[in-house]
Amino acid sequence: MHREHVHHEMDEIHWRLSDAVRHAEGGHPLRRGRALRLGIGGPVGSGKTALVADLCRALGPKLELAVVTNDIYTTEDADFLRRAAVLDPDRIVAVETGCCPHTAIRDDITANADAVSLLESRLGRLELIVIESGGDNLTATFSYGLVDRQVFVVDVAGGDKVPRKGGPGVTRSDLLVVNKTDLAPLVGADLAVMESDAHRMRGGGPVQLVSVRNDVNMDAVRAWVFDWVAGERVEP
Amino acid sequence: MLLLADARLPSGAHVHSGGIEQAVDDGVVSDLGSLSDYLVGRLLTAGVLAAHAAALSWGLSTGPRPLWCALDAEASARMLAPSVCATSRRQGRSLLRTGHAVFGRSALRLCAHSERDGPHLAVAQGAVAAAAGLEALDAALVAAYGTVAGPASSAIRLLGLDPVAVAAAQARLAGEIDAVARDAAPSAFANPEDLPCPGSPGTDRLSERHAAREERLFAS
Repeated sequence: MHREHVHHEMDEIHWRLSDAVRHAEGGHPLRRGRALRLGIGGPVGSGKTALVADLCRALGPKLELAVVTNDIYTTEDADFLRRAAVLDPDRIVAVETGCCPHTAIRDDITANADAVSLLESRLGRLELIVIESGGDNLTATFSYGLVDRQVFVVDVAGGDKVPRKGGPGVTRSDLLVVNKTDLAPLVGADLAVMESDAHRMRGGGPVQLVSVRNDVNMDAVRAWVFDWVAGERVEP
Repeated sequence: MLLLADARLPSGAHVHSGGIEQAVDDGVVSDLGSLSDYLVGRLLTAGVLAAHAAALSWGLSTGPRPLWCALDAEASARMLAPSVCATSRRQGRSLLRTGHAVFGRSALRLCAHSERDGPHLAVAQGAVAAAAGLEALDAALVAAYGTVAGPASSAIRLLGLDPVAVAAAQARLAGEIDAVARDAAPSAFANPEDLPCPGSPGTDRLSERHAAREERLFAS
């Protein structure tokens, strides 16, 4: 799915500090000359942090990867990722969102843009920066000034009506992940209904039903991310 | 000017509480009355300094002498708490980046002269105001108003205060904000070393304790 990205001028006007480092290193440069940015959004408890941890574990050895977390209380998710030792602690930065997680990823992306700059100046060449939003509601999506693509994570335990309710996260994200499929029998959720509702609401956009915790269908999500980043590499 | 003063201008202001988060947790600010007192205190200390620094920065932007380093050093010397200083630079850097994008690169001569970590917020406000074609008084007003508006909206989020009542409390400060700005505007072409020095040890201590915390909702 191609999307015309409207990039903030910020991309051209990096602060001098990070500029010096930005193009200095070799490796696999990306077509845009900076790391790709993937947003992971979705309601509280849907499994965003678990998904990020899985991606770090699976893709960390293959890609130059770093993570920005947006938490209610600053460092909860970042600490979880550091404790899980899925990534070098230097590669994880937490930002404060001033009680407004949706503002920090959409209306005023400054704090996140600063965190991205910090990671790039600290680590040099990066291929992918995963930005995890604070848990919010079905209307909270990332600005495409901050991310290049975004995944929206909902879960089966939230009820099988969720895909039908729509909202920009469900309808417009680049990938919809329906997590916790293992809980469907316990909460009386109909996966077939969720899947067909999701496809209908998204007009053909990709949907993956997974259980992050039990590693069910996670290969498809990992491949979706990896193939995208690999496809942006410039051959040496 | 309305765009510059608008909290929705994407320059990172919404993650800063101007000391309110710590003040709320310490019980210093707990209701509309104590918030109003806090806002007056902010205006007469941080607000006065910010208004003068913004006016001076505006003067440097429009005049021939690029004394940014001197102004920056004088502003730093008046921020005794390292966390206050760092927060001011972080916000200044963000505003400058937004100002670049909104008003054009060439209009902001400040960028070539500022510190590695970014200019102080008030210095950036003055430069961006000049780039936007505003007057010194506008720059001072934006800076003074900002020292009040940020903590006020943070208090609404933290304490669940009635937003209409908080707006009214801010409106009651309109005359004082105006007075601070009017007092600062004529100093646009003064020497940087003549910046006023209204110390605020209470909020400095709040800021330092907030910066040392493990868990917080706001960056400052």
